[in-house]
Amino acid sequence: MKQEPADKPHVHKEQLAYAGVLDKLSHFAILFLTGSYAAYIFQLLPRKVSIADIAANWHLRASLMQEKLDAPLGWSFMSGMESFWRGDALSYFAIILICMIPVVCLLVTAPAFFREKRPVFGVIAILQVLILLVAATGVLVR
Amino acid sequence: MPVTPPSKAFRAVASAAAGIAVLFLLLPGTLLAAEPQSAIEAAWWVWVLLLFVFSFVLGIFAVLAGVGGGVLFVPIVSSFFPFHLDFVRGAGLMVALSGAISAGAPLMRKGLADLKLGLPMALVGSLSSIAGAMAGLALPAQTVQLLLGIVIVVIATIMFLSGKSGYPEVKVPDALSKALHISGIYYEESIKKDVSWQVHRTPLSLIFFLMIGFIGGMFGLGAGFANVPVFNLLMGVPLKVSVATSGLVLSINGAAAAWVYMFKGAMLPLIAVPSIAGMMLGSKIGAKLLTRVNTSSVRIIVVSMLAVAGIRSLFKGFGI
Repeated sequence: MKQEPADKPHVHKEQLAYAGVLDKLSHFAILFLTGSYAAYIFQLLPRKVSIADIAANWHLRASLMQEKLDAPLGWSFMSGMESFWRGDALSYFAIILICMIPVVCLLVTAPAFFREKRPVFGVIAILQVLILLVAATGVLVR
Repeated sequence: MPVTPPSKAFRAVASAAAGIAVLFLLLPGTLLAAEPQSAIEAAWWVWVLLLFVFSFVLGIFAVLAGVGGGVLFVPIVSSFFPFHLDFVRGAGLMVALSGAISAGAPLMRKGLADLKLGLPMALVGSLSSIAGAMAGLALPAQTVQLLLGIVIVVIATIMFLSGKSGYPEVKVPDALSKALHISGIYYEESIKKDVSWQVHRTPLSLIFFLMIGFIGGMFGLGAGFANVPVFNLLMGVPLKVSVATSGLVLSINGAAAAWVYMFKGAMLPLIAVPSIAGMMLGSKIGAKLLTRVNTSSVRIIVVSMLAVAGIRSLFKGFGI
C-alpha cells in the first residue's frame, strides 16, 4: 500500500496501535454481520422469534414488542448454547461485536499511552473503557 | 477544484437515486405508515429490501453532501417506513457507528483522525449519549418525534447557513489544550505540504460535545453534523481533521448509547443490518463519485430532503 511520505513521523504509536486493531476488528465484524444476517433471514439456523412476528409488531414501541415477543435483549441470548446458536441471536451478537470494537481498541491503546509518557490519555482511555463496559452491563437501564 | 462534466453512468446512478428519494418524499405518509397489518406481515422482505435500497441511496447522498448517514437515516426512515421510531433510532445509531468504524483505520494512520483530540470529547460525549438514549426511550414516542422534527429542521438550517474553514488559524492555544498537548501535523495531499494545527476554546467545546452527545443518543443520529462545526469553527481544527476525528468520537459515543437501545429491546437486527449494509455500500459508491459531481448542488438536495423529513416529523409529532 502506498504511504504518504510524511505518514510515520506525524502519527503517534498509540494511534497506530488503535488503527491496527480497528482495521482488523472492523473487517471481521462486517463479515460476521453479513454471514449471521444471511443465516437469520434465510433460516439456515433456527430463530427464537419468527420474522413474521417481528414484522407484525415492528410498528409498536420497543417495550411493547418485547412484552409480546421476548426477542433477544441485552445479553439474554448468552444463557446457553441453544439460545446462542440461533439466527436472530447470532445477528444480534454481530451488532454487539461492532459495539465492542472501541472497547478493544482502547484497551490496546491505553498501555501504549503510558509507555509513550502520555499518562493523562492513558487514564482517559481507561475511563472511557469503564463507561462503555458499565453501559454494556445494562445496569444503567434497569 | 474544477468540476468535470458527469459521465453517463453517473447521470444514470444519480437520476435513479434522486428518483427513488423524491418518490419517497412525495408518497403520502399514510401509504407507508404502519397501519395495514396484513400487508406488512405478508411482505416483510419487501420492507427489508426497500430499506436496504433506500439506505444505499442515502449512503451515496450522505457522502456527496458531506454529512453522516445517521442524520439522514433517522428522520427519513422514521417518516416513510412502518417501523417504530425506537427501532429506527437504534438502527440509526448502528448506521452512524458502523460507518465511522469502517472508515476509521486509514484516517487514523494518515494522522487525519486524531486520538488526542477525539478522546476527551468522546469521554464527555459518551456519558451524555447514554443519558440521551435513556431519555429518548423514556419519553412518549410522539414527544420524541416532535423534538426530532425540531432538531432536524434546526440542523437543516445550520447546514444551509454554516460556513467551513479549510485551515483555520489558531494564534494562541488555550491552557487546557496546551496541558494535554492537543495539536498535530498531517500531510495535505492537495497542496503537497505538512499542515500543523493547534486548538483553542477546549473547555467550551467540551460543553458542546456534552450537548451533542445527548442529542445524538436521544435521536439515534450520528452527530457529525455538529461535531465537525465545533471542531472546525469553534476549536480551529482543519476541516479534514475535524471530519475524520468526528468519526472517531461518533464511534465511541454511538457504542455507548447503542447499549441502552439493546437493553431496552430497541435494536432489531432485521432492521439494523440492511440499513448498515446499504449505507456502507452507498457510501463507497458516493466516495467514488465524489470527484465527479458538483457537491454543492447535492448538498442543497440533501438539506432540502432533511427539511422535508423534519417537517414531516413535526407533523407526526403533532399527530397530523
